[in-house]
Amino acid sequence: MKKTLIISTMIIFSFACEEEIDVTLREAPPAFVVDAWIDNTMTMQTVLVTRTQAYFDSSTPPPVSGATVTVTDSNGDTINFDETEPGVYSWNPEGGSVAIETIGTTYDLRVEVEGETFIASSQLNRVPVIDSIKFTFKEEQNQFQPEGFYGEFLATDPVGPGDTYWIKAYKNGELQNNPFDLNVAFDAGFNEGGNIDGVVFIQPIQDAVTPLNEDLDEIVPFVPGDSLYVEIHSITNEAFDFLQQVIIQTQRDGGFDEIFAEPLENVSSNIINTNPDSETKVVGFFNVAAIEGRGRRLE
Amino acid sequence: MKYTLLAVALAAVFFVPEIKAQEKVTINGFVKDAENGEELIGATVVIKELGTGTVTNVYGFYAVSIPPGKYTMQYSYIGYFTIEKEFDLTSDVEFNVELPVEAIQMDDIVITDKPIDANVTDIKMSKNELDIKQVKKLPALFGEPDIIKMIQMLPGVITAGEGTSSFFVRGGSADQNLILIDEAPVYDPSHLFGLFSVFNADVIKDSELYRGGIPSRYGGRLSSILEVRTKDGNNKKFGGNAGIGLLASRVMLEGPIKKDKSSFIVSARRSYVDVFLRAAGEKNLVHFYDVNAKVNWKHNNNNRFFLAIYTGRDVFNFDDQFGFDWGNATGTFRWNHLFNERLFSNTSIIASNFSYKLEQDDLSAGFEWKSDLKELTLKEDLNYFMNSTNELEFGYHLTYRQFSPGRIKPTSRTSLFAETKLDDMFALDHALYLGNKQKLSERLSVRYGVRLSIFQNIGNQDVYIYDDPQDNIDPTRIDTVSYGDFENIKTYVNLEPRISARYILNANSSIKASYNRMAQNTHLISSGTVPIPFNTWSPSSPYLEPQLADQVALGYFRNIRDNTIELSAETYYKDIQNVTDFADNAQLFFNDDLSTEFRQGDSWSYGLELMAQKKEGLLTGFISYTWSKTERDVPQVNNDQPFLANYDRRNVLNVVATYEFNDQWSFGGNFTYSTGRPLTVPAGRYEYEDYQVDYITERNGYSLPDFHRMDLSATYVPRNNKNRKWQSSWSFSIYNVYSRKNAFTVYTRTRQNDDGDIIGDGNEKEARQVSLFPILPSITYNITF
Repeated sequence: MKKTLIISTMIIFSFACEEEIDVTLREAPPAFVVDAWIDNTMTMQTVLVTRTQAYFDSSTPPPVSGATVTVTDSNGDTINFDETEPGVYSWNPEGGSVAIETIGTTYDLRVEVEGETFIASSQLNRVPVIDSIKFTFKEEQNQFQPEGFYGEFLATDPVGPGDTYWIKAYKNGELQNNPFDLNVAFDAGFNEGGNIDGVVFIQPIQDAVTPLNEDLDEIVPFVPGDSLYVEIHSITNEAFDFLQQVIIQTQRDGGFDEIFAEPLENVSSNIINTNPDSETKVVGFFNVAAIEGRGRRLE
Repeated sequence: MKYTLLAVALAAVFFVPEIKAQEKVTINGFVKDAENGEELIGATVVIKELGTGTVTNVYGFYAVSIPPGKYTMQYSYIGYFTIEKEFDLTSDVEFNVELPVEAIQMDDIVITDKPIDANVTDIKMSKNELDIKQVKKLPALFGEPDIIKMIQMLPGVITAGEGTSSFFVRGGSADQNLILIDEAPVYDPSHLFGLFSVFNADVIKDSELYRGGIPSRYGGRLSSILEVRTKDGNNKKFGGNAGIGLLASRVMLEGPIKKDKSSFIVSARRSYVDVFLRAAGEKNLVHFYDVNAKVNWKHNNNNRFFLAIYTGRDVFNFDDQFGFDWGNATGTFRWNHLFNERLFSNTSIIASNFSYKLEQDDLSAGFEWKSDLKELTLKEDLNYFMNSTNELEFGYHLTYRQFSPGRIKPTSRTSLFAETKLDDMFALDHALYLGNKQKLSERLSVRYGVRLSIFQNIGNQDVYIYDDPQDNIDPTRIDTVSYGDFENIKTYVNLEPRISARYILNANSSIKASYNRMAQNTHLISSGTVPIPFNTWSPSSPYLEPQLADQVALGYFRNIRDNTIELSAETYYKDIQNVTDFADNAQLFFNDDLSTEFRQGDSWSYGLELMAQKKEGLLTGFISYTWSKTERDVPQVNNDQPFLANYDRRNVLNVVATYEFNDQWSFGGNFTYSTGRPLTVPAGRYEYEDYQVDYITERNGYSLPDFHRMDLSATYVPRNNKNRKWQSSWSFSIYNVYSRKNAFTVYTRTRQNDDGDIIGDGNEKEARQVSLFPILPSITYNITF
């Protein structure tokens, strides 16, 4: 649908012109932002608490200090996240008494700050192992896909519908995190409607680990010496919807087809203010992921 | 209770006692155009001695029952000479009259050229006829005359932006307009995403827009009825015309099959940009076409038959890899029958089909996606011309609809797409209506009626029962109920009262008032400001209630300068219940659990509409001004707070004029000014896992800048035409004369340079304004033969 509109827009409305304008946006009271994406690995786990900022304000997000951040699992064990720098709340699982490890465990996040209490819940879901990473040399396909080595990963979604994943790719150790690289899967396909379950991830998902250039207009193939590390994060279905909304919002291309597009809406959030009457708003998401990873260097 | 009322009402129709106290005779017939035999709709018939009269119905038929005696009948229609004829009525008389456009001499009739006062005397309010001859003389985008662009200039009508075919009537959304071509509904009237409408100006005979005071014979949409009727074809002589424009060319042929008895018309239009593009080696191709055809056969005055078809499509093809198309096909068969001199019947069978297809040709990701909506309607409409003060209309409409929201098929064995299909949905729509136009006194006339809409969502369908029917994030089906073919799933009954009244204050002014309730059981599944052809429709169902609108309107009408200038002022208030909207971040395409995205709420709108119109003379045109406000309040949308509708524009001013300079030259001009439409923009931002996310606090909280534009046109008819069998003319148009950069939309993004490269660290944001058309001249060459 998106592609359709973009292409037709280009053709019909070649007369259209665009220019930067000054708009005065109404200032909104800042909301709390809870970025709580934790996983079952033995690395430092962090929860970020910040505030929203004015749209045209390009400074770093204002951190929120002095919060109490805890995660309690369904066995009743509690993990405390301590503020290590302003707005950054961390927990080192190394050598601790509690671990995030049992698939199916439910985790409850609790953030107490400035008299407000925010809660959220997530479940640790299963994740498939990555069988292999491979590089294939391809001829130039079109101007977006030049000649070179393209990476892909091979993994099989376990049987049973409803598994959701976020696939992250690291090139030479660097996380590929521009909006167009955001790669999520519902079972082995793009979305629930695809009904592709219990098989190898579909080709476009496997292929999406070869990143785009900075200007997002061309794929950059791997060259010998490059490394590719792929992680599959198991996520909740709510988190899948959330990430899809982030994709839609951050990939929104503007222009003529905005008039046909759905109205701009906030992406969803699973963080809830325990006081329903409070004027204080909170956005963000809490997910506990199980991770499988595998890497390879192109020789 | 409702049913009792209806039964009484129906009984009243079928058992109207014949008033025998005084013997009456009936004079009836058709009013036609003298040049081509086309019937004239809404022509005025006045009995001078009685000061009373009637207007021809939508098939050009009139009938009046009056006591025997000597009378002078006066027949008139805008743009034609008025004819007067004396009758000594002793028994029923059939009199078909042909009104001339040019002065002619005839025995025993008087021809005058006197403007008529329908603006003041007609009961109808909130209604405009569109003069297609004028549309053709006005400036046109890319030289294609377009009736929808004229509709967008009328009072009470708002457009979302230039280059779109959607229109918004008195606070209603784009899907609340019933758009009819020869009585068949057109579900998407756009070509090229709205640049043009599907209505080819060559075949349009007559069109009118009701935005209030809607008669009981119409139903199914909340906000307006746009009825477009095509020509029947000249039944006197063979002729046609052709036009070559910048973007498309047209040809139309018409003529008698048997003189004065039967005629035909065929017309085709096709855009041909793709022909040049293909020649230039371009692989991305776009074209659209329209074909209209009609035959009609007048067996005798009592039986007439019509068959009309329309088909049109847009076809986009990108390098043979990806393509899509959409279009409407409609067919109408009509039988006009006179049961007796006072009872006129029209029986129609109408079919309409809207479909679209997207196709991708690819070994691994090839698919074909199709969707369509089919409907078949049987209509029986009756006019009973009871006497000179009462005209009844009543009838029964039955429609069967099949909604196929989507099926996806892989195009190759290796395609990752599996064959999937969303469930079809079916509906039966019954409507019984009854209305009467009654003259209560010399000054007061009323038109009142009621429409009973019985809507059934029927099988075959599996209806899912949800744990929480509004949980669209994680829909949980707890049960499935299967319904067989034609099995009733859900029935909705709505009684829709309609009433209009006109009170004449003096010879040149009147006040009018109306109330109508409308029900809509066919819902467009679209959350954009302007629908796209790839939206689907859904019937009312257990999860989607009928949308209901109540509207009151009050107006003052005045003619000045001997009826040459018509003035009107109307105010309205409209309240809509169950207006269909969608959850935040709704997934409206190919969603098995689509019903969980539905949110229905309230909408209300009010406004003031002023219009001054001059229909005759060298200078014709109108000025319209609308002040209006439209809000919505939908649970779970915009944090449960009311918000302005996407298409809310507070002030709109339009000027449309044409001027006949001399026999060779005529000129036209448009000017439009409107305050900007609301838009949702982010109020803030935040970071989540290194992604920059917008923070939105309010839907439609920002207004686009004001919009204004002027267009000019000239039509030149060469002098040598008179000596030829065919005539030619040139049309010149300049769109956006002063090349204003009007804001079509505004959007925000990470700051980038002109090549799309991100400036800085990617943390800076910018707002961008998109403007569509700069100054655009065009030229069209037309011939008529």
